[in-house]
Amino acid sequence: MPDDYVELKRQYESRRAALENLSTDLERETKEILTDIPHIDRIGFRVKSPDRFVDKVREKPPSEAYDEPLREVEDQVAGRILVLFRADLDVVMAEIVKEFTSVELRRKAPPTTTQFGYESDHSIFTIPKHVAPPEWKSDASAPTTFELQVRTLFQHAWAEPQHDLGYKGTADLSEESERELAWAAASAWGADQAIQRVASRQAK
Amino acid sequence: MSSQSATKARRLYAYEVTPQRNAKEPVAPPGGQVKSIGGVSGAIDETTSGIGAGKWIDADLQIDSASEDRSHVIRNHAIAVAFGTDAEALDAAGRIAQHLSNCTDDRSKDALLMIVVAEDDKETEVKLWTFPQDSVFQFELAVGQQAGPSVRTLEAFSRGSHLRKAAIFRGKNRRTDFLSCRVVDFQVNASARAAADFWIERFLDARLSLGSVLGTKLLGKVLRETVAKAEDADERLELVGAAQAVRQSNREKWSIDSFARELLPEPARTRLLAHPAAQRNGDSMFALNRDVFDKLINFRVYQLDTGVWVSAPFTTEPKGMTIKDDGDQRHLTAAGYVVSESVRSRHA
Repeated sequence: MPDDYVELKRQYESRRAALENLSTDLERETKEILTDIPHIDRIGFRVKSPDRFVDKVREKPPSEAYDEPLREVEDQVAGRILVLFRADLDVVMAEIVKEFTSVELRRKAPPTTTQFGYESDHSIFTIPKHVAPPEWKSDASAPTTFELQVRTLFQHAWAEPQHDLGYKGTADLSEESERELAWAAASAWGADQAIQRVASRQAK
Repeated sequence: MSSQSATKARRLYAYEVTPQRNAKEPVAPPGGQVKSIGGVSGAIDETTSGIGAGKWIDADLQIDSASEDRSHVIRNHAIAVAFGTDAEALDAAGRIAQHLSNCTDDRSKDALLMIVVAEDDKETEVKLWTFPQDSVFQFELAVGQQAGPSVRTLEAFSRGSHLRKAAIFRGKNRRTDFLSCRVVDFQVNASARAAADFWIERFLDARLSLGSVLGTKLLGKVLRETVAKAEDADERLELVGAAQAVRQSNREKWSIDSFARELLPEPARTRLLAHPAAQRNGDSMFALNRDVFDKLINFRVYQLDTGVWVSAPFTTEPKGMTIKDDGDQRHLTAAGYVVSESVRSRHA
């Protein structure tokens, strides 16, 4: 690892405790915001590991390289909310944006209607000042944002194993593997739709 | 802003802003770049540093979260003023002035908008200050004349006015910066909603950094835990009374500090402000959510047909108290030892 990245990793590790505190506070507050909202399977926050932080900085294309990664990497602290039904995605996000200020809201989905793959709601929020570590007030390199993902259990069930497989893109996969992943994604999408239809009928 | 290092002013703009909220064809506010910035920027710095630490409000801009570039009316212009070419900066400063003018209705007087761009070795700072017009006297004692002192009436822009307002952004020209600002607004608790919301919501298109539900829950938690630690029944009653007062107040925005300082006598005030959450976030302002507050405080007062009042705040299941359905009525029984007795004008 080049010296620059060793130093970057050291700097990141030195703020690890502050990030952990922030992560704990954001998780607690997210749970408070969603106290009365049904169909939530779990809420969890994590701090990005030092190795993954450095990997993210290193893998960025030169044209998009970070000037100050300690400030600009936005998922140093990230949360994930898993919901039971597809309709809950909007319900949960509507509650969250009442309390946290969003700067980016994206629904990630395959580019065409005939493709199946990764689906999840990704959002970036401003770190509320009352949970930001006090020493960050005068730290121009401290992060200002955190990431939050909201997905259904079936979206998660597809996303986690395929993420664990660790391939870098479809070019790394055989045609058979690519087709099987697409089939699994389509099955997850279909299961979400079916469960949602049942839930909607039950609600009438 | 005492935690920040000293900055050096680089650009300064001034505009006379006339209310034009209801104007059919708003005109551009007169003004532009101030070339000689030394003395004026020093006065702005002095005004800024004169604002006490507890008077600043943290606000987050309401970014267009669907936009690719995190677009926002004030953020876009503030970044252009700070990092654009001279021509771009002048244009953006004029647009901020126009936006302020378009947000201001006829109930306000003309104001002086000052936009200062300053920097230190780490970041660039954009200060937006607005000072309302005020009528002042100018007293002059002419030397060597027999006519005596002269007094003139003038219209000037007041640096010390209670209606002055500020917003300060710090950062670099990048996606993660200029998303929040620190604000001075002494009218944020005005009873008239238009005045209370004018600077943060209407002009800055921002909101308080601490959300309404989270802020209310924080106050409720601090209050409940302070009641549990109260030294005696009198102190507990003072805390309960303050909870009732904040609930009934017309005022929307509170902080733990303002709650303690305005509604609690000693020693309850000191005890509440010593709570760790108050120590950390006492000055964080939020809009009180009364429904959430009611659930947290669980303040119930029962009036009995005997003329007796029973109140049981901060407890979901008061010990020694039962309520049973008795036909069309409910029958309340309360039993316990009397630990204090006082003459009061309210049922707390």
